[in-house]
Amino acid sequence: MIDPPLWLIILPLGAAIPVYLLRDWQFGGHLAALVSVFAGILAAIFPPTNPLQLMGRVLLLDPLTQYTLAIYFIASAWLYIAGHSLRVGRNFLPLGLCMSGLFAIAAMSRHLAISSLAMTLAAITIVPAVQDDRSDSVQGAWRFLVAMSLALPFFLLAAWHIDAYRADVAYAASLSQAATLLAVGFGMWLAAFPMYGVLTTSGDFSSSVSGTLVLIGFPMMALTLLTHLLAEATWFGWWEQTARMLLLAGLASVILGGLLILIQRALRAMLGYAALFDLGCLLIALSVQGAHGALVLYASLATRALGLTLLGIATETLLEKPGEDSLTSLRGVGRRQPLATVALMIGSFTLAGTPLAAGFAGRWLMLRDLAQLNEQWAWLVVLAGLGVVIAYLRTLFVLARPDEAGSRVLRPIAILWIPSVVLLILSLASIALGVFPNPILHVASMLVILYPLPQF
Amino acid sequence: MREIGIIVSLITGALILLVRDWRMVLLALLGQYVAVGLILSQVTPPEIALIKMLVGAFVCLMLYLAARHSGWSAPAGLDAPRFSGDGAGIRDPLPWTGLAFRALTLCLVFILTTVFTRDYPLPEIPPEIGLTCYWLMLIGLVILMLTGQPLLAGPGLLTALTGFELLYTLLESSLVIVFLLAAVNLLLTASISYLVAVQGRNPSGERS
Repeated sequence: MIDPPLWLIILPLGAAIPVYLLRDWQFGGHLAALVSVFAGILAAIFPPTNPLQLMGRVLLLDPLTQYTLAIYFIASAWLYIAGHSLRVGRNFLPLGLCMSGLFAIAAMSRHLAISSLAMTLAAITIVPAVQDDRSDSVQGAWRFLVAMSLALPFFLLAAWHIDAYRADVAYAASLSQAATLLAVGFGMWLAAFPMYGVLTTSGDFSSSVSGTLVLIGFPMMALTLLTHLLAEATWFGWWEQTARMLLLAGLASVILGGLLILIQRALRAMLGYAALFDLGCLLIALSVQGAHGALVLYASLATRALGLTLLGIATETLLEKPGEDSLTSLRGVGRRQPLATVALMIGSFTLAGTPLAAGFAGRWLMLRDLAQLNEQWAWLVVLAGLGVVIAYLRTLFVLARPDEAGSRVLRPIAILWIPSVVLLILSLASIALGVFPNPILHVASMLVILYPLPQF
Repeated sequence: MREIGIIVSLITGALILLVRDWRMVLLALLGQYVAVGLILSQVTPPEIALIKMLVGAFVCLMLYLAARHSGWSAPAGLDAPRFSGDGAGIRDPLPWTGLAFRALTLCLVFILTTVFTRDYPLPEIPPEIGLTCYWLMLIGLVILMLTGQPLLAGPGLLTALTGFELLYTLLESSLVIVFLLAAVNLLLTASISYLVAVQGRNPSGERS
């Protein structure tokens, strides 16, 4: 009898083989999406379970893990179903499923060494999808591979220090070393400041759809593991620098994301910096821990996935015909792809946290908490968010301009039905959650009760 | 036997940094895995050392096959990498890193290694093995700094991880971890080989 949580590992890994064989047909995309949706539903509805033993190591499906895995599986399902009609690498679907299974191992494992090894295997597995069969993307994939591989030693050494401390309290003196090692390791995985180049580069070089899968998955799983660690290894939370470092990394990521997105001249690169801005906001929510810290963090994990999925699919839909992703080559594309253009705007507003988009409620609560700590920092976050909005409004201006001087003739293009339907559904969901944020806040508040954030 | 392993790993590490013929680099990498296996066979159960050596042999074989089948011509050195396909080739992003520069870098790495071994001894590790760990990790990192091309930098990444594994295997010898580390090494090599093959097929399409 297989323990129910193990299905979250078995399903995606097992489905990778048939999906690999069917990857050239539309059915392959549908099968991958179906498996991901099913795994997402299972992750959401499984009752609380006792710890499991797998090869002598403990696995536990706690409420936070259920929540993040459910979000990730469902977001990846949208990407699979839309991505198959767009320009993604041939191995995107099976490798994405393998990565999902490895993420499930990483998130459920209660041993840091196993989690870090599973995360590294996931990063290595997805490299061909990040490279995306494009001749100009080897360097981006290589940088991603190097950064994710070099993070592993830091985690394994930290895990050894923690295990040694658990076995013998005399090792308490080495816990500060463990905390330093973890700070470096999580810095590389989260790809926040100062390691932000890892994921912004992959967003720049790879297809937006596969880049989005990476931009959603790695920071989300890294935050889940960090939260587990903070909750279980209380000594790490006591380390007085932890909160300050997280806040510093968050503020720097927000400012860099908001500033650097303004100087980008390519749509794919903008996606990476918008994601960096949003990640900074998540780190601020985790570090400030005001009245709504946990609520904001948990709600924002879902809205981030929604915003990034919208941005990724919309970006790739807009780039389907022009091929190039520089803004100058996109003149007039918005007139021929109005739905994708609107979805691009809604996705960017969701990440920037503007009113009427899904990210607003969480961002507003985060800003209130941050303002109580330091009002100027809150204004900095608002200004950085404005940078994201301005960058995408500039893109809208380019997309809406006539493609040739004086020409206003619209050339018909083939409509990509599946991505368009996905964009329509996700855009409506974003607006609905922006106007009526109660459902997402209700789920997040339930999670706060079941899995409260550790206090620094 | 342990001393022989340490000396061979020091020499092979230096060769990986100095030599720029990819076949020689892969040969040195193979020697390095054997040397690390020899060191481990003296301080851990022999089956763990055997696993490490077997994984190393597979790693080198995979890289060799990927390089040969993707158009890296046999006599091509890494100073001027050329492909046998259309002759377009790719440029070394750091053309100033000649033999003299790399030899000087090697000296600096050696000094750094001895300083680290003296001032920051690794926990629960004999000093001579600690020296080997530091040496391999630093050599690997330096190679990663000097080039970004997968066929040139891949052995550097694997060298850095081998140095770390030598340290970590002495600290944690659980079979689950050993097998997972072996899986990481093999999959990592598969990914590097994939990137090498793509770059080989499209030598002029790279942007930095």
